[in-house]
Amino acid sequence: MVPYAWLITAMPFIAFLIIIGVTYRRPLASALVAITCTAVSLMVSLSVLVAVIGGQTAELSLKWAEISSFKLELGVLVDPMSAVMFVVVSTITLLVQIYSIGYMHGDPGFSRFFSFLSLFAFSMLGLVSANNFLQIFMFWELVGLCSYLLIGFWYDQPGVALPPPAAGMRAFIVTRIGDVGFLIGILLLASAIPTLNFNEIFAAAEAGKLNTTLLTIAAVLIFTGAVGKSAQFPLHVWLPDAMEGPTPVSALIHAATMVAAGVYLVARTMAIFAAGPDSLLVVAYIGGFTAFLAASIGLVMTDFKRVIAYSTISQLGYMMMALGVSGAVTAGMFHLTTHAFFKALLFLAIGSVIHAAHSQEMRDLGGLGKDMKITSLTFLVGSLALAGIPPFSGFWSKDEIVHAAFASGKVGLGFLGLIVAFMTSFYIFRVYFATFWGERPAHQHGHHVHESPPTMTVPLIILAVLAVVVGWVGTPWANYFAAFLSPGEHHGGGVEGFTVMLMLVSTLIALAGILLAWAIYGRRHYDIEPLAEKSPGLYAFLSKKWFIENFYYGVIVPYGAVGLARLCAWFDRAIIDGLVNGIAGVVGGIGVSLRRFQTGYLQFYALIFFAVVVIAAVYLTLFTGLSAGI
Amino acid sequence: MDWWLLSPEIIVATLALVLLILDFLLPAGVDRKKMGVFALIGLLAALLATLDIAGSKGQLFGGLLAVDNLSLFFKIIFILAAICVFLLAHDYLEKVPGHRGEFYWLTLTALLGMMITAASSELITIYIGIELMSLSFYPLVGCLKKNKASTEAALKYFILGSFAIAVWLYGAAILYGLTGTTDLAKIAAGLGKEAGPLMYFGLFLLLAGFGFKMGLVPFHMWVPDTYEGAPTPVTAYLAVGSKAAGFAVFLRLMFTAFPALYARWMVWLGILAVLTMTWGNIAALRQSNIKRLLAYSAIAHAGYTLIGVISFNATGAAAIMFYLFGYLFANLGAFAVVIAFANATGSEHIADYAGLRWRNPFLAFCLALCLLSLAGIPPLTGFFGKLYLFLGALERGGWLLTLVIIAAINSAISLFYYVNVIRTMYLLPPKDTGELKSSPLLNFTLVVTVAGVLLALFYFQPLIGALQANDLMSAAWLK
Repeated sequence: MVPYAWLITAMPFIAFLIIIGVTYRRPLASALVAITCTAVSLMVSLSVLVAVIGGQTAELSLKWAEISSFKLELGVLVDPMSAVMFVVVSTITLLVQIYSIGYMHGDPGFSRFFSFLSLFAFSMLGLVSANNFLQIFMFWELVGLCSYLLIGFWYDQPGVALPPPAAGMRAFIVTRIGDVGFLIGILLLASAIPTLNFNEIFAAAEAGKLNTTLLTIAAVLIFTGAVGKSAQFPLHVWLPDAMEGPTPVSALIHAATMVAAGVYLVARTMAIFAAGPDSLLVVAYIGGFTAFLAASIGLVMTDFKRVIAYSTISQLGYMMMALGVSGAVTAGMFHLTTHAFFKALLFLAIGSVIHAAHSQEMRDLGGLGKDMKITSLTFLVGSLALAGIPPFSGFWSKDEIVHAAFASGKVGLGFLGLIVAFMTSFYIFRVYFATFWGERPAHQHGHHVHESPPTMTVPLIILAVLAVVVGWVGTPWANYFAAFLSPGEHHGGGVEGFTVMLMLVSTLIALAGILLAWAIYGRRHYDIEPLAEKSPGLYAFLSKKWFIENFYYGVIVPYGAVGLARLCAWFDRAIIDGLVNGIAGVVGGIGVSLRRFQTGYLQFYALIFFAVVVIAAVYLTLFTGLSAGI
Repeated sequence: MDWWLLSPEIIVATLALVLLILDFLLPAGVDRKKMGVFALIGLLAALLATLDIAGSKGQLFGGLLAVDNLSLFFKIIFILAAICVFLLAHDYLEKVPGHRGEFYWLTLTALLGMMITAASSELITIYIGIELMSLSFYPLVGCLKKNKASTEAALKYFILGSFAIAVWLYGAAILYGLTGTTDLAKIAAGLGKEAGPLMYFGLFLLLAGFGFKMGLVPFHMWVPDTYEGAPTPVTAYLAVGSKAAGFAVFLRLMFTAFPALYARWMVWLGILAVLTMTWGNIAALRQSNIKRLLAYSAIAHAGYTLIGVISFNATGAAAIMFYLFGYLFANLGAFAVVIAFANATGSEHIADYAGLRWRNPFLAFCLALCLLSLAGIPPLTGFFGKLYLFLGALERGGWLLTLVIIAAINSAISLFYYVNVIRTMYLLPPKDTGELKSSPLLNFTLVVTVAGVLLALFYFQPLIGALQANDLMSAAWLK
């Protein structure tokens, strides 16, 4: 099947074309087209995965154009890492599409929604399959565009916190800041070695043919791209705003796949990071700090969809930390895989709650467990996986990360990982208890809720099963996942006492978080966060998101960006006009009348032109050496 | 001499003369619209003639004009630009009181000037080409006779343009004095290695003159005022035609006549490129008039394009052609929307574009796509143009890497003002909710230009394959 791997990427694009060209006016047909094509993608992905497990790899490539020595290719790189990603992306896309039939039922933009989802799946799979930097950058921008389109999907609605199109625009601009770094990083590499192909660059980096300093700088620049896309500090601010999009979009793009693209990028280009090891430190500490920052904000958000959004940022921070501390891809990619399933599950489950209760605010929720058994149960499974309770999948992957941090000697990051684990289990069970346990809040009594339709609950059940079992491929006793992803390395061998102790400690920590959440939220309903009364200062600091957004939108944007523009305006007015008026005064004094034009100053323009020529003449006479003759 | 190689110029010149005579013979009251149709047919013939001789190589008038891939490619750009300008002007001119016959034949003489400029391989011929082009443009810019901004723009352009060409002529005279020839190839031979200050000064004067045409900072000051005041189809023509002509002849001049002085002029041009792109982008940030915004954007793009000259290799030269080709479509598309919008509302203020997506989704979409291509978002043609330029510079190496990084940062800055227009169209509520109609002709032009913006996706290799086979670039000294 490996030679047909390009079908994985092509199928969703075909779906996109069919939907916009043929079935646009028939919503259900559009959904069927999208689902069928994704199902084919999934089938091919699975058979490719089987083939790769059997030892096959391939690099299919189509020469697109040739610019001097640079070959521009469109390629499909089939190796263990991409094979895993193909399956993850197409599985979750398929489940989200099925779920969306129910969730988006009756929406006037139903076909448009499915066409965008298909376009996104195409872009994401194209990104995963890239065998060169040009292709990954192109699809990198395309997934960003799809994200923008889907965040702003309900463009005519007021939104929860800000209008959806504005949230989309914010996401687009903020991630672009990282992309500039990414592009410069690519160009820097291209200046050192005349190719854009991954394997050729990695081979040169591993063979030590490239300057270490250059590789370190390039790696850090590539990482800035990942920081933007994966919402790491300091570019994390766009992801919570992205929650203005429909919830299936949040599950697919802003939890499971696109935001993980940054992690995938770092993992994919690990050879460059490894050749400039200082860059790994940057990755590790940015990741670790982001994990802590986002988890702390997640503790107090009363908009439960945003809690899960901050949780995503925090978990992506874990993945980055894993890549950074280990200098290997397995721990990070493993957490990416397990996280994709349980986080998609959590989002779809909270979507089911929103669908039924028409709110995502803490004060409106509570006591839903009785009426929404499937949603409640599957959300519990996702929460246990996220909190890291064995044998749920999140436990194995998170534990591997913390273990890697301790093993690398970065004990501080290891302890940070444990602290974040405690916060994680607390905030997610806060959501769980406050949503499903206890009583319905008094003002909601008239509103009867009922379980979502099967198109929504069946994907939840499938994801719940996956969220339990996926982790079993990477236990410390038999780490098939690691052996598959990097077969050359030595994995585990035996399980040491330290590993077992760490597993025990992190389980206890997670249980403690759950217990604390139960003690506070499990027994009664709160309209406002209890922390707000107990410790208003800390609460304000956390609920204002460490004041980072206030700083960006209140200081940087008005005084930095707008200030720069104002400075230009002032320069134009005060300096240029002043000069012109001054000259006009002087020239007017000697009897030449200067006519002021309505816009612009003709004489001044000519003067500048002439001044440049004179300066050049003087410069050339003085500095090019008169001795050379004429 | 193979007259067939001259057929595009002959067709355009004949067409211009016939229209000129027609315009004089027809009584004042007769509608001139048919002249546009006539001109379009003639231009299509000229385009076919150019395509027919594509790939051939020769010299005309004893070496005054060169027929090679460089000149032929640019001729195609110019003719396409002229065709689009006629399509754009059709509805626009209906709003203009008074005669408009001169618009048609002046556009054609300007085209002829550009074609000669791009082909000339000798200083006097360059001068003739540039002056033919410029003298046609001055009245075109001022053809809204009742409009104060238009006449002012024309006068300003005329005075500064004359000043620039005088400076240029002075430089040409110095070069002739030093080398005893006006032929570009012979200048290179006569130059030797012993260039003195006077030679550099002459070269700098030429550069200043061309810098004016290309809109390089600090010779750019006419650009915003003239672009804003001129009739919009003429602005579009200036932005793509006149500028491309400047780059065509500048490329030939620097590559043919001054390879020996490369070490020196690459530094000058590097400084100019950084100044040009940065100034253009920062000044564009605070524009509220869409034509001024596009004017500053045009300045910034001249800065990027200059990188291709500084690279001084076959890739750089081909990149310039590809870049300008993509720029042609994106820019004409943007101006087409500006014209359609002004035809319907009479406004050129960006603030008035609010909510355009509800009033006319097609226009909003096309403008968004063209602006994103100008900003260099993949996979649109503008991105590949920039990539091509960057790769040419990386091939040269050295401090050009710094230049490339500055350009990459600049293109990120540019995104802010392009996206601001898109934001206005897509996010802000419209002040006037009525549907905004655009004519079928403008819609057709938009479809053509948007196809060009998407061109690189589907037709990249054949196009750059043709560029790389360029004869000019295979000269031994480039290797």
